[in-house]
Amino acid sequence: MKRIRNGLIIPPLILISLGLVELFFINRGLFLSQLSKVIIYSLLLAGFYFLIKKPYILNYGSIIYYISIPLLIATLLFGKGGVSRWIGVGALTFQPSELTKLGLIFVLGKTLSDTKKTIKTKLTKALIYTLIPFILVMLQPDLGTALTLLIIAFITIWVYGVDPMLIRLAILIPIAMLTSAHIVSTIIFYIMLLSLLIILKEPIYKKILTIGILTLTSLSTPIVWQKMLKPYQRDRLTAFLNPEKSLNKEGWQIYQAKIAMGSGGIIGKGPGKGTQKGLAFLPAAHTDFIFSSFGEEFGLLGLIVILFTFIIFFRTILRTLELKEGNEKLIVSGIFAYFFIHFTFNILSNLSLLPVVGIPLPFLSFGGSHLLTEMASILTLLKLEV
Amino acid sequence: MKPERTLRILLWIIVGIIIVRLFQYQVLEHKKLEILATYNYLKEYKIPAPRGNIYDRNGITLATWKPTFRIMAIPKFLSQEDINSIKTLFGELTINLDTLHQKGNYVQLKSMLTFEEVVKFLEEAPEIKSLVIDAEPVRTYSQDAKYASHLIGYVSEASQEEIEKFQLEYGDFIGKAGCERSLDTLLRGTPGAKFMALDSKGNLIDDNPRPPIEPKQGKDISLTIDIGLQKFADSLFQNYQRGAVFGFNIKTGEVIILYSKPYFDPTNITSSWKEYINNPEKPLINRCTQGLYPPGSTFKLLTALVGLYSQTLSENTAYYCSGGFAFGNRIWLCWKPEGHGTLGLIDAIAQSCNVYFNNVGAHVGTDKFMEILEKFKLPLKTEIPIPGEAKVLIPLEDLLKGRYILPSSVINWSIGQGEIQVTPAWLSLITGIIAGNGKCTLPKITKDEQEKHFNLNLPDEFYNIVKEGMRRVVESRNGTAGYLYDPQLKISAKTGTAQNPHGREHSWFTCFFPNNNPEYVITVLVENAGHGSEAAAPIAFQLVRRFVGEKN
Repeated sequence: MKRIRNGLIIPPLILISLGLVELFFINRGLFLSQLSKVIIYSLLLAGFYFLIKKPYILNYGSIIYYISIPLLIATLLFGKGGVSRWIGVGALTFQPSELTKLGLIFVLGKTLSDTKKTIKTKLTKALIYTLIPFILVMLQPDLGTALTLLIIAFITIWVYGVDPMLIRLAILIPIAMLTSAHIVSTIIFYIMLLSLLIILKEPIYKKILTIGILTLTSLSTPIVWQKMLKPYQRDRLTAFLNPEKSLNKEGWQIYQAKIAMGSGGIIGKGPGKGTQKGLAFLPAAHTDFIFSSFGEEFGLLGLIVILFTFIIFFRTILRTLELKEGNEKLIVSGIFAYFFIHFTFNILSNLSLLPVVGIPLPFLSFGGSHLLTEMASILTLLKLEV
Repeated sequence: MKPERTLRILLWIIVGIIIVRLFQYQVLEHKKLEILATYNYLKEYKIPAPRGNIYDRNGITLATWKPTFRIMAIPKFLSQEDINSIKTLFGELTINLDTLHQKGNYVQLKSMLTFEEVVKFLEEAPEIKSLVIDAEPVRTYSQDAKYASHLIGYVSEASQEEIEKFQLEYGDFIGKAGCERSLDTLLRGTPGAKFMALDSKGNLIDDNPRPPIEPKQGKDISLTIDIGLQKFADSLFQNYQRGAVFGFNIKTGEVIILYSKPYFDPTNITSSWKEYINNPEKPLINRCTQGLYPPGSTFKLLTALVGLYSQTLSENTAYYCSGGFAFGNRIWLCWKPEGHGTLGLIDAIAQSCNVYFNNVGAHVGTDKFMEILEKFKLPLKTEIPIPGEAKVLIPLEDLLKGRYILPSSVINWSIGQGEIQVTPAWLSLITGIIAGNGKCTLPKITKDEQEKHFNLNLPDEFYNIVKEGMRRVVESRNGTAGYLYDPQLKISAKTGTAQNPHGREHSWFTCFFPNNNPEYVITVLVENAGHGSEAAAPIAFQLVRRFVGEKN
């Protein structure tokens, strides 16, 4: 138990500190702002920790969801900035979509662990709970958050345990979309799909259903891509494939991120010596691209420290997951999904392996909304350990 | 499989992918990306090297450099407003920014600015990002350099072609004519480089992130001419519009005078370019090496050698001149209407008898004449290291292809008329070959150049006969230049009066001195000035007098 508690507290502390170190060398103002947030949120959440008992969290955690949905609507109506992601009162701004993620985790846990309902009702409800915020953030538009919500729901439902066909479909649909880009890859995909279905022992109607849905996906994707997306939107999504050639903002960002990390080498240029971030060649060095910025100054060794700290953290959550049952297990899996998606999307887009969708790196990126949500998630995990 | 297990495996797969990618970026591609990171912020511009000085043989400066200012900027950081404010101050820019491929490097916007202009610019122009003002060495020429402008040449901004060929940049200067061109690689020097660190918005971070590479000035060059003599030649030409003087040392090849009138002023060549180009007198033509003229009687020296070689002529061959020579149904008149009477070869040279040489030509015959000239293997250019030298036209089969060659052609050739066209420099070379008994060093313009030799291996007596004739041109009372005889000057010479279809005859005079041990050749051409003995010869005498006087 103590090991788990340490595994939940120490890695985030290390990561927050490393984030602060990098922010210190990017901009003293940003550093102070982030430091004050860390302190305020810690005090706030420590107070909560001692005041609130575990059953309260399990029963009333979903309140977060019900608060965040009106906030999301408010964002759409009175949003600040070009993209309506933030709402604010005076100088304080907040991104309710971050809170929605945690809210969704509680709602899904509570819904799916309800023993009085049938599986079908529970799944339908879970789907509706997911789709409401999904549509709201898509309207902002915030593709990254929308995807995060979907994957959180997917992993939670998977851990809850459903027909393997659904899980399989959820994994195969994105693959079918990707492979439809080229006729050869499409053929290879279907050959592999057919062989998989032959091996599997399943009722024939499920196999036909699987093939039907996937074929529909493969056929419709190119049409959507060609007819419904504007050229610049396509460029944004494919910029990561060839950042040197893309002249748009996304291409420039990931190209400069590559130069930043690559020029850092194994040991890095040294704290404060990064020219990419220091001379503003690397945009968003303090938020989405803090991983690259850190890599420029602290090199491969520094990044490996970050990676292994994350691994210890994730393994601790997975260990908790093994020990839990019911609602608690679902909440833990949701929280794992939340951290894991942010970690994967952020770093892989820094490394031009995924498109840039504006997802922060947990604990390290500058910003209060995601930090508060992350700290609240940890508080929840700790509370479940009591 | 339990989801926990799958997620654990997924975690390791993702981390594995990240580490492989990081290895690629930070280890395998580190060197390349480090350079790219440096390119991002480290900007560099060229510091042009001052050109080497050009001196005359006495160390008098003909060309040097002075500092001016230039403004540079990185186009991608310039707003339209910035460009407009530069244009209103200085007029059109040196470079068309729209045609640039690379807008991330420094380019020169305006050059050759004075200190006052720069101060005004700094006062009036708003803060322009990435702007740099730096010194620029600019070529200047001395007051007297114009007297040797065709030898010195001039510089101006490199053309697109030259930029590609010599890997220059827009706004770089390059020699365009004269020794500025032929010795450009020596004179140009090695440019240096200055480094600037700029951020992504064009703000200056550090104006000395790396020590600059200092430029190396080009090599100084000492020409073999004497600018005083050039200036003196100009004073002798004050009554004539067009002409040329060429002289060189036949033993060392050193050019002692290269004067061409009209000339240009290399200092303001760019501003006066149109004027020079449109001037009907063609001041940009170097008449010494590019002007082609019929040689007239001066060609008789070669005719004599051809005749002697053919064995139809000897020192003692005598012909009678009645004042005209009949061949076929045409008559060629001698310049002396009453005729020279009976003459030997030496007197024929001295008195420049046309009829005598018409006879020599007629006896050799047109085909044989060309055949022998072919055997002489005379160079068609002096190979003087000044760009643009013209090839002469003499009776050789290759050169006369496509023209009508008649049996009577040789009658014209023998007296330097007909198809024949030579340059003053080339004629000097022929005089030099005769003076040196066949051996002559080809002309060169600096001491350091490698000597190139030419040898026309004929019996010495042939040369001695011709040289005796040339001596008598001056020393004999009947000689065409006999009235100028000065016992102080040991000159042997030949006059020429070249008929040409465009007006009065050109006046030629070619000579070598001293008689007994020939060392120097000087050839004077005065366009449309009549008899060689009247216009060209006195100029040559004055030049030799001054040259010999200064030497002693």
